[in-house]
Amino acid sequence: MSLRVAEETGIGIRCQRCGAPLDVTPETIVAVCKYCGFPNWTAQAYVYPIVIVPAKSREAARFFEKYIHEDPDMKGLADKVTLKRIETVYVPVYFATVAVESRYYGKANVTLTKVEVYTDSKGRVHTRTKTRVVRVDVRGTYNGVEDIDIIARRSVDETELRPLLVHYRKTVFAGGKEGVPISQVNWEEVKGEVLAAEVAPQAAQTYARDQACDITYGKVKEIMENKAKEKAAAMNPGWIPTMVSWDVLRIPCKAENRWLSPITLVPYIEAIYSYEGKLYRTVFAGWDGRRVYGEEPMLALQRAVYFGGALFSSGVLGGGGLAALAASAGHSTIAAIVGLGAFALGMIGSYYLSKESLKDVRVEKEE
Amino acid sequence: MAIVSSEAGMKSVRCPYCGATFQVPATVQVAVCPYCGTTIWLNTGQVFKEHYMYPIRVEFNKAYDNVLGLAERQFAAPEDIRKAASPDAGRIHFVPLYLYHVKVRAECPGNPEAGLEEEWVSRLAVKNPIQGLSINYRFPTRGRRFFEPRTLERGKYYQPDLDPKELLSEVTSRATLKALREAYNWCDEPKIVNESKWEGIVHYPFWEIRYSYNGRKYYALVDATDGTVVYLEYPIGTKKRGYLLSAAAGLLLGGMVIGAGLGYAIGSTTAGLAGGAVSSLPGVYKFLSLGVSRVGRYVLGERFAREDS
Repeated sequence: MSLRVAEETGIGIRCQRCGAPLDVTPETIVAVCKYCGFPNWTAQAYVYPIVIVPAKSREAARFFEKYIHEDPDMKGLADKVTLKRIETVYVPVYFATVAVESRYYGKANVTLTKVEVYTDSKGRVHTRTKTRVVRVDVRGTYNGVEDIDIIARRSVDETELRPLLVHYRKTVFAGGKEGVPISQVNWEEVKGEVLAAEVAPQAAQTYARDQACDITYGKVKEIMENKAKEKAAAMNPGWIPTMVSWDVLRIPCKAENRWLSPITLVPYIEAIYSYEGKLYRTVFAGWDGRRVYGEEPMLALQRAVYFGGALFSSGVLGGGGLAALAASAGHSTIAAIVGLGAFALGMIGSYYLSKESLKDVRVEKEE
Repeated sequence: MAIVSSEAGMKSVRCPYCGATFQVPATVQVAVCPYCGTTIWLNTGQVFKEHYMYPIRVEFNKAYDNVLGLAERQFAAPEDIRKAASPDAGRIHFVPLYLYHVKVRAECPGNPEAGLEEEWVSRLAVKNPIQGLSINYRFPTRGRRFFEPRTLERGKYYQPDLDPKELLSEVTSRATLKALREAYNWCDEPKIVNESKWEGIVHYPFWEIRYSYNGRKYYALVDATDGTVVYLEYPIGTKKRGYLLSAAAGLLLGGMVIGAGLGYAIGSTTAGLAGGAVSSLPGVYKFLSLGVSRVGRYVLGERFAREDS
């Protein structure tokens, strides 16, 4: 019986092999039964491979223990930590490789500066800054390859999943391994909640091209800016290029899918723990227990350090900066600029560090 | 036709699937039968299947525990909040969200994909949202189910009252602009091909939690699917208020003293003093604004406002 028939007869949707109820929605493409591991495809009969990265679910509690006893920020608190809940979840992901090509072209205005030191009639040494703007043309071809991760769930919060995939690429991929075909694993061993895939392979390909081009625009723009600066500097020896603005900027991006992985079920272990009644959440990579995302308690000492930073920022940067500006006014442009910069930085720092000192939690993640 | 009668701002609707009659506000365009979950487009009587919901997986006690667990984490909250706070009320709200698949291409001669945007987004489907909930909520990764009308008996159920097609154009406008911007790299007059679709409705449960501390009342909103606290009001502890006001004064005075000292060394004491004072103000504001508030507020950042990133 296909899934659609099950839906219409109103008996709920059940695994085609073992009959257990499945969590599916109209968006589901494939739902893997959490009891027996059988992949149930929806009416659109895709034939697409599914692989799983087996989780060490039985070691979940050990991963947590190891983290709270070995993490430098946590080991002092370990005695007061209580594990409230720990679960293994598999999330469906596509990994894609996309080749991109861009034949770019642009007309830039490059601002150059030059600092001159001179002595006035009374023998005092001064500095002054000169600027000039030159126009340069930039063109070339960029060829690149982008790796894109596509979480096959729609409009979900990806905060904790992105760091998980970063770690996946660093470990499983870098080790030349990938998941095991789902039919070949011992389901009793790898058991966990498996989230249904909601993004079809074709949509994943389109999404990957979209993302690859978004990344390419940024990269090519940077290349073009550097080229424009180099060109302008070569034309004006002794001048330093500082700013680029564009009259014409064309970055046409052409993307081509090179590879799409099977639907890969990537496991994570989510732990909720309490510390002095306060609740925190930590996510471990299911295959090796690495903490990829973690909320950690903010301690009084850490708050004090941030407050000290805010104080330094206002007093030293803000106060010193404005004093330097006042003292150098009229005879040193550079000192004045540095002073003003320090003053501005002091204001930003005092705000940011004060805000940090009041935060409820510190978040650490794999990058 | 699904509409049976209209009067005094309400209309009666008969479900074409189970035959039940129910009332909805006259502004409602897409009604959901509270008995069987069938979704009806009222203008045409068309029935949709793409309706599902997230089940309540977190019960009141757990949600309340999460509220206190988060409140305790807040610097300014009183230390005895867990002991001294007491729950007043808890109510489930089933809030409807529309789901959209946004797919926009911009074509140039010889390149059908000169601009390309594809994403899935959700939008709150009611005009008057509940406190603390933003219009673009991102779901937790887990927990989607088909619509089970039985569970609706447990909470306040909202009929969607925004036009899903009007929202569609709003939802796609950002993608259209981006696709156009990409395509201008190829040609001057790209043609937009918008294949975006409204895909359905999801009803999503939230716990509205009311609690008291020292005779004052506070409000919180909790995602009833995964227990995440979305919005929280908490009291400011007396001792903590003292810390905050001292921190504000300390930062201002400390900034001035350090600034003046450094200024003296550099050759301009007054400027150093002024610089230290002025640049401490943003931080002083941060401490002071919380220190003098009646309530502290926490808003979950991550699940909102991803659209512009």
